[in-house]
Amino acid sequence: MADVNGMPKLKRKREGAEPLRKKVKTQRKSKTEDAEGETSTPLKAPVSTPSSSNADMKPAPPSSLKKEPTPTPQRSQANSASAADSSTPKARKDKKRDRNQKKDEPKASEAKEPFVERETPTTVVVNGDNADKSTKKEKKQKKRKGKQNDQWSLSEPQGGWFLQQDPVFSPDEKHLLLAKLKTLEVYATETSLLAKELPVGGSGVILSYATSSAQSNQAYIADSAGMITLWDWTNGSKIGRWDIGANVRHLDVVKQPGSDQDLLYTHETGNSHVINVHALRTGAQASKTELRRILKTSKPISGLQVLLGGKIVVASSANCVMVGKRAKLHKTAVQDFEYVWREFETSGRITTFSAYIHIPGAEKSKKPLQDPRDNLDLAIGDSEGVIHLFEDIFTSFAAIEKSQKEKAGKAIGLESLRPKRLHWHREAVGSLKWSRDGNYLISGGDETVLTIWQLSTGKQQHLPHLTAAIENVVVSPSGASYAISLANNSVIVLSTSELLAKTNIIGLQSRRVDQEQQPRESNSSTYSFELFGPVPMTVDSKNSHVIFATPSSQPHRHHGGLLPEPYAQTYDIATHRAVARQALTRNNATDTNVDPEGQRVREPNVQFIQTSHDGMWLATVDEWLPPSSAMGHIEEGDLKANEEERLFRRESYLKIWRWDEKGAQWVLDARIDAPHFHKGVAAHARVVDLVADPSCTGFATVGDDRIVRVWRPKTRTRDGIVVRGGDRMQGLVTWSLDRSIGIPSKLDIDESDQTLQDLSTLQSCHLAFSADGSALAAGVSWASGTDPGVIHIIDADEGIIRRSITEIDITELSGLGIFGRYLIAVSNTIVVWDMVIDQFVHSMPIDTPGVDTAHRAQLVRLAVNEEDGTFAVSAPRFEKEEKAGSRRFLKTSTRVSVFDPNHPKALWNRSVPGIVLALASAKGGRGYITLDASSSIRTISPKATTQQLPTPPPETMPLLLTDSVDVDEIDDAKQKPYLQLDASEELLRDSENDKPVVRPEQLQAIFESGSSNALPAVRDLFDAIVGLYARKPRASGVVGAV
Amino acid sequence: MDIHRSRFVPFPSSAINALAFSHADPTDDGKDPECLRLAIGRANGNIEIWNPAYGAWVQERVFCGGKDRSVEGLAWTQEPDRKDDQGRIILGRLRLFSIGYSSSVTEWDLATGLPLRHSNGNHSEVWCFAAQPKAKPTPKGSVAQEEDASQKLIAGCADGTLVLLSTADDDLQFEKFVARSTAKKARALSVTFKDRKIALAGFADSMIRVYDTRSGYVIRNISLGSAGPGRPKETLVWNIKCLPNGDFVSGDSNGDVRIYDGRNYSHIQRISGHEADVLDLAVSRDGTMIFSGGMDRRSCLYTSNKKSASGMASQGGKWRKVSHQRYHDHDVKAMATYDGAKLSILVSGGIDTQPIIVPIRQFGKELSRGLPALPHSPPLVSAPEARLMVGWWNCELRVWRVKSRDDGAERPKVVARLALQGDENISSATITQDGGMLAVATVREVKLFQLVETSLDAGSGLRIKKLEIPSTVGARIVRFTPDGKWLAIVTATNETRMARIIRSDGPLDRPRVLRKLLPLPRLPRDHPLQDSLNGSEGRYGRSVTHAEFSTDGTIFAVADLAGHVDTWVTEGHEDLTAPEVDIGETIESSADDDDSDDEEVSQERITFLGQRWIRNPTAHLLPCLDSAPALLSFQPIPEDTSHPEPNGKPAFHPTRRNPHPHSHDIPETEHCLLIVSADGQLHLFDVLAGRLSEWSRRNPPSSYPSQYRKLRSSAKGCIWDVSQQERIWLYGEGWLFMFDISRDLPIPDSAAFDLASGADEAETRASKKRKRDAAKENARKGTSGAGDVVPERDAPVTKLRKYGSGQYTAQPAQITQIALHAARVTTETDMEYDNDHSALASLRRQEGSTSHGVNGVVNGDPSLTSLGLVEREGKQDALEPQKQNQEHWWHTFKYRPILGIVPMGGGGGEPLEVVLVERPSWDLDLPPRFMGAHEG
Repeated sequence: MADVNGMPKLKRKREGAEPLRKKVKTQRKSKTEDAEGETSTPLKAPVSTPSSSNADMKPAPPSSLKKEPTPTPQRSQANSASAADSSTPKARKDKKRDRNQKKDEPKASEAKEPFVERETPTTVVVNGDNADKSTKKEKKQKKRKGKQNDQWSLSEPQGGWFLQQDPVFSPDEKHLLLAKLKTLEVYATETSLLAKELPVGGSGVILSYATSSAQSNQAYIADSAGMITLWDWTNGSKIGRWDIGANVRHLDVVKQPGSDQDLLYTHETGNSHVINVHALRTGAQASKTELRRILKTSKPISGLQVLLGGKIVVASSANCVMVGKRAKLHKTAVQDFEYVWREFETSGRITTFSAYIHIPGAEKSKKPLQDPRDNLDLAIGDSEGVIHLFEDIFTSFAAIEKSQKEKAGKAIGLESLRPKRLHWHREAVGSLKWSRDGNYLISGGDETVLTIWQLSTGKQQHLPHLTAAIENVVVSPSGASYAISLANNSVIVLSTSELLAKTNIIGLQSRRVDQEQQPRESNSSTYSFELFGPVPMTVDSKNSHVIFATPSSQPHRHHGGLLPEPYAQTYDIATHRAVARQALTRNNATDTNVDPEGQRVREPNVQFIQTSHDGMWLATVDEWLPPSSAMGHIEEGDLKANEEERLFRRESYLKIWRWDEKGAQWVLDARIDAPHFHKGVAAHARVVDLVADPSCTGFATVGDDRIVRVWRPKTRTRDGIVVRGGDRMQGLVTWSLDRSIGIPSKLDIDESDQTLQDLSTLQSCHLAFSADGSALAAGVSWASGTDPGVIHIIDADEGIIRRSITEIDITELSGLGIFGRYLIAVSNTIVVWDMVIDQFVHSMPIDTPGVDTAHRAQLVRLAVNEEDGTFAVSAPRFEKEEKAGSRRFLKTSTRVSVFDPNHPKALWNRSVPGIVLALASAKGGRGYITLDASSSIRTISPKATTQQLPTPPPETMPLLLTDSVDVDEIDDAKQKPYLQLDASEELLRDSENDKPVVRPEQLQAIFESGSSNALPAVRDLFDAIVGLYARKPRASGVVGAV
Repeated sequence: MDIHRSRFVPFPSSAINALAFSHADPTDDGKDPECLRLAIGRANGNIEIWNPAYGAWVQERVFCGGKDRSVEGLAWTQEPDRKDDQGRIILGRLRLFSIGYSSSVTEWDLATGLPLRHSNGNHSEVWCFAAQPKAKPTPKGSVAQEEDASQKLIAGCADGTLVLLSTADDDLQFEKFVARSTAKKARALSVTFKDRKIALAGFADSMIRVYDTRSGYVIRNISLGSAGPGRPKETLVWNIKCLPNGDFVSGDSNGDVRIYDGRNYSHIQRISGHEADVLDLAVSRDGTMIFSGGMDRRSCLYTSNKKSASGMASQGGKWRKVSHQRYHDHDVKAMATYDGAKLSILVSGGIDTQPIIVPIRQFGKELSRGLPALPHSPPLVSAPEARLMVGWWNCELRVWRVKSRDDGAERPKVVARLALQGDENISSATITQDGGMLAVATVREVKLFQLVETSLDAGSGLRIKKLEIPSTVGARIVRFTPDGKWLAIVTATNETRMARIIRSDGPLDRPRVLRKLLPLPRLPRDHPLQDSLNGSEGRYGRSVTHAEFSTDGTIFAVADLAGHVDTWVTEGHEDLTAPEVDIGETIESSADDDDSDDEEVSQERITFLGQRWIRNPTAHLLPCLDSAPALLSFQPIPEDTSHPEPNGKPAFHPTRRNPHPHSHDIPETEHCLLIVSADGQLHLFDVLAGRLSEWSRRNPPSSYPSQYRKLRSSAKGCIWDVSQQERIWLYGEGWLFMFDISRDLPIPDSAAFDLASGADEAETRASKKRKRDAAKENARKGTSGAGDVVPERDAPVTKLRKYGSGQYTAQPAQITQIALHAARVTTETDMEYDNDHSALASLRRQEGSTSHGVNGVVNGDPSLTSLGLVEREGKQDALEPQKQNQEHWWHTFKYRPILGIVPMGGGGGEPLEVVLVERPSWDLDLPPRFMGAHEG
């Protein structure tokens, strides 16, 4: 055994030479230190490279190496010092502290800056500067670019997806810890509101996290920079930080036996997969940081569970389960941890597992925990949807090993390892957990049904229609609630008794493009960039909410093609919160979602979303095509004809929705079937673009039937009297076709010889309204490359083409805009045309490396902001990584440029990590909003003006009612509105049962009615709140969750 | 071969209502009892006796039922063991009881297949019954309790009474009422013995009652309660079964399986595994597994990890449902388990008529397996010359005329229907080659009909005229000689009789049967084996299951279950001048065998028109087969040699010394009798020489193609194709195999075998792989009696290994890996046996080639080879050389399930034409089935 013990030790020594293991002690900083750090901000922070958000799924040891240029001698020194004696000389300690500070301060400052009054006089807008900071730094590093950049600022991303890890409850279940890539977010389960954000600094992104089992207010966060940080998540302070030099994919924390301190079980990836036990100690704890490797395997470990304080460790890989049992239980030192592993292979692919310890005779509770006969029950979910339940698996192991010893050709008595089969799930089991008492199994998967198995009776309970695939299920520490994370970036907490939702945390749900779906270097030539096609997005002009289309469910393990997007999500940038989600088309949330052939039924896809100028109307266009597999019955062998037939069966609808103030949702007012159609074949035509009239209510569409149609409402009258209906004050409105303008294919060809063949050659077409709604530009580019395309200027009132501009080459038109007198067309170049003098102004090239021109049209986006007289263009970049061919995926980024039409040069350029899927101008404000492939929203806003988007920086919440808050509870500058809300919730709870339902958004609306620096008087606020709580409950105050 | 693939025979489905194994436990020395049998009771009143035969599953007997008789329950009892004079223990006799829709319990005579006796008693219809467990041998010796040792039967009746029946003294007597009918007259739906004293009964009024059978005292009433709102108020307790530890299980109409404590009769657990009624339950012998089958077609398995620890009531919730599966297409009505030493199986059956075998101990490691649902002996005969086909079921019979392909693909037309009077099911039927006469047998009588064409144009109906037959005894098998001159009748009591039919050429003349029947005594066989089935009272093994005439009608052969084959030959030549029936008294005759004196009981010697049947002189040379014969068939012999004429010799005339003269000539042509045994072995006997034919000697089972050896169901019948080639087409329920018996099968270790194995077995060429193949075969033998071993990719757990935490860096080889799914260790003896055989066979082949020249060519008719082979050779040029080898045998699994194949059309150089009748399960006329909530 000594030999066995010796091996990892040797290894450790060798590793000690490398900068892999390091102990860093961190202490709380005093405020003075903070101030120090503040002043020295510009000097450091070489760390944050803003482009890392898509690279962060990678293990990034090189970057960590780069970060500290000369770490090696220091570290070994530190290591040996800590190993040698603990009575370190003062000087060394100081040095260490210095280093610690240096390392920590960037993050600390980042976190704290927003809350501190900035002393720099030049920056007026706090958030802008802050948001811009990282980018700016990078810029500064690379090239000292022009100062004009400062006029515009790019905010920090909002939204983003929660990590695919089990949500973590705080021990008292009052909070739920969820991680995004860069922050650990603490939500209050009572209110579903964000209570605290713990940002990880540096280049790393969070890989896993767990709460401490010794201290309930502490949480460990492991990031891709190889760091494990111990936070006090209640006050957001860092307690300790250790560089373990490995990527921790799974983390489980138990108490060290015989002591009161944490042991971390980590699954670390590298060349092989390793499970280590870490005893991470801070200086205050006066013991050594230790490490013990307990498993090393080449199989990728997909799950880790530690039971009974580390006595049993269960890990799973794709088709293998490893159960480790600690031998020699009396030895509690970490170095003496010995595990006996049993590994069994399964034929099915394991997707999830859960283990449970039945302590026999638990009710007697006579026997100590060390009773060697604990029954380990193991449930394994596989990709076929079967849950295999192994009861008392150690006994089975023992029986098999015994029969193996005696074997003599006898068949191995396997019956004890015969699992129970629970098969209800049709598809892979997404997540599986034992209930706290071991009597139930809770599972969920792609069926969007939470299934609760009562094992003793064989009965199942189902909670169907959760609208999205279930990704993770967690049972709370007391067993009173389940936290379920869904594949639409939301987490709900259900009470176990009634299965009612207590908490609902909704993230930004727009299309996510995972790393695996991105183009690789190898396939970049054949890659179809359809995943990066535009996401329909619009800004609601009445409240500046962003509305965009979302898929119903985006499981993390789904790496298929483009998902249809039948829903619209409304997101409030100001409060960082999803406001509503609404179905725009038929969807499969409650219907059967599988066709007779067993394939998933696809929903229609929303292609365009536009709001009217006043925000009272919403127009959407959705389209559905039968899947090619459903066309088998007309199969005639001619693929082309089949495809054509399929396209003829397109279903396309223009839907007009009216804003229902009471219900706070969009209500379908009119549905126009086949807004465009091919007359000859009686088929729906594809709608190619939809724009809203910026001056009055009305929408214009263009289809590949080459007709521009303008749709306008008409107040319904009967015998001259306006028909009023329902509860509406205005008359009933009928939407109808107002104008219909045919687009001639070429100027010199009369329309009679337009054949169908001719029609199908429409390559792309875009519309743009002038600000006063009088002119409508329709830019058409044809599939044949020889024809440069044409832009028609249509008189919207008369419905006549006034001018056809052929002078501009728009072969691959990707955007068209009218701004004042200028017409902006984006194709291969950005062309600005002066419509008044009818002459070309200037053009600017677009650079989209990695995308050929065939795909560029759908990837380049244009937005025009009338307000500040600018337009913005986003162009994607797919680039090879500069260093090393080891990375298989292309590095993606988007270059966003803001232009002034008067200037041939961009006002402002910025590279944004990830691909921007939607770009919109902020209506009623200045600036732009981008939505990218990681579901993050950023705002681009001009700095040099006091008028700005109601967009506070992401980290800040406006300071509110400071006088009524107990200041002691709030750390430094970290006063947050949630405390207010908590207080009001308290107030709520005291009231009687039938209290009016007050949604947090309404509260927010009160608190943020003015701009952040001009709060109304306290009295007004109070009145508003009283008004909320004292009014009668509303009948239909439900946010449209469909 | 020209195949009419057809499904027009409306052979009706007959649901499985009851299943019972003859033994519950293995014998004391831990082996499975030799005479373990499974009885399957069907809705048409038939009872099938199956022999598990270590996984071979042979349908041995079918006891015919009748109209409106359904077997609703089955139970076996075994008489207490006795000691004979020498002190040897004679195992007790097995007795089989059944219930139907009547108030009596019926005992069946296993030897004859006839009902033996009915119970009496003044009570209403019996709905369920159960046999008392066997008495445990007491250490004091059970002589004193002889009477007590018999197994009583308890029957539950429609009005709720429970009746105790005594089976003592080899009788079946009403003993007493255990319970009188309840006030509500709730039906007793299920009953079982908890031990020898206490009986449990489940009623239709949601009650389980526990009785002391000695006193009739109700020990406990257990109410199941109603199922809740929206469900029927009363819960029907469809089944109740006891676990070995005394706990018991009930299955009810709510789809719940409930487990009760056996000591205080308290409810322990309730598991809902079914969506609809649980109709039957079965438990494993060690009491750790419960199986349930229900109306939702599911078969569920529940296990408990508490091994035989009785009354773990405090542990509550120890039973868990393991899994469910839909083995059946319709309601699962009956289940039975045998959990013995090697065999460990659950049999379930239901409305879809197919018994399914599921492994118990090897559950999850072996596949389930379906037994043939169609009768083993095809209920089809044909008159090829008249292009008629006869099919029968229950007490109906239909005759079809099958047009040849040239007449257009017309559907066969029913030309005659026949429904027998009386309510006995048809046991056998036969028709002459020319379709002129039809004989139909039930267990009560044999009927003979003449089929007459109503008009001369083909396609019109047939008229059926009844003919007189002297015998009134029922028969199990009837057979005509092809020319219709002789009719062989095998009675239920296994006697064989021969009737002579005089047919005149005139179409209007009626054939007549000569008054006298000629009994054909079988060779006595010494029976050292005295077991539970073959006792002094009746010999089950001597039941004749197959009988066949040779194609020229000169040889008759019967075979019984034990594997004995008896053959008789005609002696003399037909002499129309001789008296029709000539009865002689003398026994001794020079032509008779030597062994005739010690056993001969025939007091008369009957000669019909100068011909009589004598035992084949070499009959005693035919060996007893290893296993029951599955198929008996004579190889047709070409017609020119089949008729030895008397060559103008005058007929024999009676003289004084010889008042009953007749020729002593017996046929001389080589007659090949093919017997396929239940284990699939092809025995080709030269009957008159009394030895195995050369082909059979040269081709031991080890040389059979592996596809054939892997077959699970035994052969049902065969078709000879000898007009151009020498081929046998064997078929079972799901397969059709052709063997070319003019050539030898390639011997496994020869190169030819590999070639012959063909492309689909290309991987077996590597010798290593072939070993694995063989191992697989042996693995099949080693299974528990159900299906093959589950392939590794489907097993939930495949490998297991153990290592310490420091060992992860060690070489993987050092870590012992337990392959949980390794094929079973092959038994070396089997391999050697096979090798011996193949060595012997190759030796024989060498001999054969030296002495007889090239066998294949010599055996075949030269003219045929020139005709058939030349054609083939033309093709061969284009094909690869191994193609020739491939034609040693050929197979297909395309047709299934095959009800039967009969030849059609007259020979004469035309290719063989057959009608293949399938009866797929989806074509059965089943009642609507339960649809689950999730089913479309």
